[in-house]
Amino acid sequence: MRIPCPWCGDRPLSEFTYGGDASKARPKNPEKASPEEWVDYVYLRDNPAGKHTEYWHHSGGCRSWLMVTRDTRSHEISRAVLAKPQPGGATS
Amino acid sequence: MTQFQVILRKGEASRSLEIMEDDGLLICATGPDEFWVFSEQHDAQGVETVLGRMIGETASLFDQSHGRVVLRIEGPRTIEVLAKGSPLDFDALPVKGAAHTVIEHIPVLISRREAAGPYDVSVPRSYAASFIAWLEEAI
Amino acid sequence: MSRQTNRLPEGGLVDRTQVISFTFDGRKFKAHPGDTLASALLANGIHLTGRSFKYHRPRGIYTAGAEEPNALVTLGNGGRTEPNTPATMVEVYDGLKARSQNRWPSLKFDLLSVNSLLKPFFPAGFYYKTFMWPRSFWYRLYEPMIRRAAGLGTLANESDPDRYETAHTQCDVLVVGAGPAGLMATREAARAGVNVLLVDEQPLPGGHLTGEADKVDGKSGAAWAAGMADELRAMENVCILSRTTVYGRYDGMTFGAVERVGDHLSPDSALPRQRGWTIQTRQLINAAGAIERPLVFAGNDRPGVMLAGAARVYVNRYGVLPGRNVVVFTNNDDAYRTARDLSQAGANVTLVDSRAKEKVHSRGVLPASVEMHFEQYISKVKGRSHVGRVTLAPSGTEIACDLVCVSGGWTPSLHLLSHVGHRPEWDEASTSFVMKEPGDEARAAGGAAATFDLNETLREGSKAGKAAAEACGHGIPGKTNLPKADDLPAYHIEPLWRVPSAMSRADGSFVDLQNDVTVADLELATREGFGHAEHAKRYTTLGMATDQGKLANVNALGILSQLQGRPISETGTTTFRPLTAPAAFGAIAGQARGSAFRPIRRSAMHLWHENHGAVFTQAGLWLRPYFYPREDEDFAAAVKREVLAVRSSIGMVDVSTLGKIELKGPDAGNFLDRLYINAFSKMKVHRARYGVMLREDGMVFDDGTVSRLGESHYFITVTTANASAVMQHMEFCHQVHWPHLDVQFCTVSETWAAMAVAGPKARDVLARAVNGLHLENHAFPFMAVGEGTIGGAPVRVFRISFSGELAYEVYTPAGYGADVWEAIMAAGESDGITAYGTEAMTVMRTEKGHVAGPELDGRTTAADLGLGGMMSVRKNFIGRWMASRSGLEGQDRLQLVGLKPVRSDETFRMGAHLVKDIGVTGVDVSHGHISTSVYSPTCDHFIGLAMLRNGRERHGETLQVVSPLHDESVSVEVVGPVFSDPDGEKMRG
Repeated sequence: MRIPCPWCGDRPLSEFTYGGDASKARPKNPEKASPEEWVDYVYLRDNPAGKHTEYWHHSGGCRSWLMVTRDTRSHEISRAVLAKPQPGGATS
Repeated sequence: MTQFQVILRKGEASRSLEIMEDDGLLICATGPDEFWVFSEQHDAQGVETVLGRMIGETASLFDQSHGRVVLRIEGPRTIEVLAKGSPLDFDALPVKGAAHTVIEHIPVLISRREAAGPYDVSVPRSYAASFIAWLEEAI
Repeated sequence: MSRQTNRLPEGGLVDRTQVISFTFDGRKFKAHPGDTLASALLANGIHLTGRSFKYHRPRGIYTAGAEEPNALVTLGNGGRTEPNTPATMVEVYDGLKARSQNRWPSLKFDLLSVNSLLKPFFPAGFYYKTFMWPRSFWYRLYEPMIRRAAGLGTLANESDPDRYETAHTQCDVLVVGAGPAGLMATREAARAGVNVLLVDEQPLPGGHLTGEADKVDGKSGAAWAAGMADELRAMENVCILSRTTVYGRYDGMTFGAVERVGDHLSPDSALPRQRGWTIQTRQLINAAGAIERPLVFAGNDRPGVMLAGAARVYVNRYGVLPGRNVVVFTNNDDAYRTARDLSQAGANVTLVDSRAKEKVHSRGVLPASVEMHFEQYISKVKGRSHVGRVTLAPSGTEIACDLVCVSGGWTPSLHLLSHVGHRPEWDEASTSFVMKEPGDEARAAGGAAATFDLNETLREGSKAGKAAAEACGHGIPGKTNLPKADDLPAYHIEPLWRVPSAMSRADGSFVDLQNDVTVADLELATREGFGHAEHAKRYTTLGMATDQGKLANVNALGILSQLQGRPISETGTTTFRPLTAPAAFGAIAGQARGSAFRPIRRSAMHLWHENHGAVFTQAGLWLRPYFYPREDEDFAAAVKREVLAVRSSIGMVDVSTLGKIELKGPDAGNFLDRLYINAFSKMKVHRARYGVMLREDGMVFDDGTVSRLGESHYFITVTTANASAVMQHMEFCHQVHWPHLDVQFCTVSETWAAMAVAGPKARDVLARAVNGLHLENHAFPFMAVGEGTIGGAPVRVFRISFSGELAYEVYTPAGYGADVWEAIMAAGESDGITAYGTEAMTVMRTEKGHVAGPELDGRTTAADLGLGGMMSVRKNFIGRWMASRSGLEGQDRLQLVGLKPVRSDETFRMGAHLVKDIGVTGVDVSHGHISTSVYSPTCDHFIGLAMLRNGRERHGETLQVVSPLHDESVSVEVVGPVFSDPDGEKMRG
């Protein structure tokens, strides 16, 4: 399987490290968040059969964290963008 | 060879400066916020001075010269040999460009000096002996 | 040496000008270059090549290709022994030695063929129902007995000495199969300008054409193919790999293949034996052809019975006539070419067709001498070690023969189209499974698409090549000149899944030859409720042998559908998975074996350690000195000496493996505040501080040292084991959580060599070596950071202590590492400076109660470890909120304590559990476990660090340490975790 790193181009899976569900956002206000919000962020995950947006780290390449949309049934990757917001709003 | 890792400061991600050769330095973009600078001409002090003039306060510099060993590989079988350890399309690397990748489980930085080679492989120092052993066997 | 009795006077592609010799089961035979072991054996009149898996029935060569189920031989000797090799795929070289398998004492007289007589006791699934009592006998007697009696080849117990390689390549279009479809597809795609890789498992191009008598453009198939291959080789954008099998298709259009580089050469060749390829492509053209299937009747497994297509391959490609009195039994038109080719080669041929005369299109193809029977089946085969006579039904006619050629139809090879999950569909018209929707990136042409007409195949191949190129963005307009092949009658087939049981015994009608599965077994599976294809496969083991059911699967599905009265489309299929053919592990591993399996990381001082007798240990990929034994010292003696040397005078340890990260930028301190439980943004410049990092769930993640080198310049160290994980975590936090922070950081683990100098004499010794730095206590107190030089090399010195002694960590750019180390050793010689390894280091940190890896196991919080006081309440940091959740508080938490044995000569081990009373069993008896235990020279007894329920309240209590697996138990006293210098005076003086 290959992942299309927005910077480096298509690279083999062995260059990447999986980073978990990217649809969970860390509580914006950590001090004010309730214990339930924290538990939800740290532990609770959906497991969809279908498109899933997840973090991958290009550890063997440019070391960017990516948000990748992958179909969990076919491994088809429909989108891959840099997790870090780019100046000018560019994602790749 | 003197090698510097240059990381752009916040808001400075520049797409225009992808590859540049000037004043004894080869500067290659290697990531969204990162450049590597190679120089056979200047030592660390010299590179810092030249870079300082070029980029001012827009980036932080890290001297990586001691952390890496550079192997210069040339000859018509270069890509064939490197391809024994990596699925990267070495022919697609831009001339004078550099890319981080992995060869036989070893993280490396490859730069293509000329269209027909040589290829410089910058290997982290602790892995150098293993990489050379692999290379000798692959040749 | 026997003569080649079956070699035809002319014909075939073998090089008749050269005669080579080979050995089979100790007998020497002649052959020609270009022969396979199978063709050479047949040329010498040998059909019997093996004994079947379960029943040890005599078996002969059945096919001419990789799908061979019977003729499996063992090649090579010693570590080169390769069992289960199809004789049809072995290229004969002078001196080749092969032997048959699964028989004793010999092929002709195999004692284990008694299994055949015991057949009624060994139906499918017998091990679920028999050999069950007494239960203990299964593992002790039955299973070993059955295992020894069944099986094919035997593995060598020696390491494989051959050299293998791996390689990677990329192309735009991958064409699998260099037959007519594949050659045309390659040419068209290459002309359109894309990069094409053409792969074929045979040494010569042409696919099935090399085994046919049909002409293309007036030339023999082999000659036409050779001409095409020459044309393709001259094109720069075409690469051809022959003797290469594409064994698997993986996600994202990645393919695996094995190239047999040196197998056809003698073993002393300098080339690698095999090369494992990983191929990345954009388009696939599956031109892998089709595989013929047998007909199913009693005795269809006897030596002398073979596939009709294979028989004519032996005539046309190898110039070998496998028999003189031939019966061809078929349900389709294709086998008529076999009758024609064998008859023209001089055999007496009788053709038996299960269909009515009117259905047949190919009668005109046959010479008049061929006797024909229509609407007849073979019902019985006579002859044990070779076919002698067949009986037809319903007529009862008997025909004497020495070769029976069977054809049940052709099965397109769909594997590479279905490995990634596409399922094939049953096509009534061609009586085969086809891939109707192969996806946008794959196409099939020729036999692989159930196209059996040669002209249509050439057209299809050309079209596929153009379409694949267009899908890559390269189109060429205009027509192509297609070559013209001999016209053949249309291919008609009438399915005959098995000769009806009334005419032919079900328990002698083999469906899967390699696993000895008969029609009776399928009937049994259906009766027992395992009639669905997936169930029947596992119940009978049909399709599970090394040939993966290539000859058996479709017949089995047809038989099952008949037994259940359902159409094949409803019987289900099993899933095709890689590998399509067995591959040697060596080809997958390439160079990555033995010491080259993983890279080894060495520090800048590695050579010094080697030269001074260090015994190394592996810490991840690193080699680290474990201890440095002097003459006559064992492990315990060396470690004791090293520890005592450090605590009484001075020692030095290489700590270069620590993860090191450098940070710059105005927000660097702010960033560190968010990562660590304690604060660093207000730390003074030229100071260091111990830091602890948590995970987001509140558990301790890592610990290390943070030093401030300047206003916006920090340098941190993290544990060796977590170096990558921490760096990844920091990059995640910066890129995802806090991209607005103006901080730049990178790993400098490789850039700096590091050594810790420790002991009461450390200051004196270092002062001799260092220039430009004052080391007196007032100038350089505990936790100070400074810069200087040693012998001209720049050094950073940090006064931090892991050992608990007066200590300094000296960092220098790695290129100077060895020199700086030696300079310090020289400076310390008069004080008896001692190099120490990781074990001594572990002993000393344990004596000081410093936590390390075993205590940071992902289940402990800072509070558990006694570090709760470090948690800041004034800032946000990763893990703060989850660390304070109520579930992580209370008396049940395991807390860090020290342990010492009540009897000072007793020992205990890591992982042992702490209980109140031995002998009380139950779920909850463990009060905790030992995380670290070592012999302490300083205390002269064993000491341990342990995680104990409510441990801090239990100092002074006596507990039992138990290790039931080792049958050990020891009494211990719970104490504080610091055993040496509890007030830390030595560190701070």
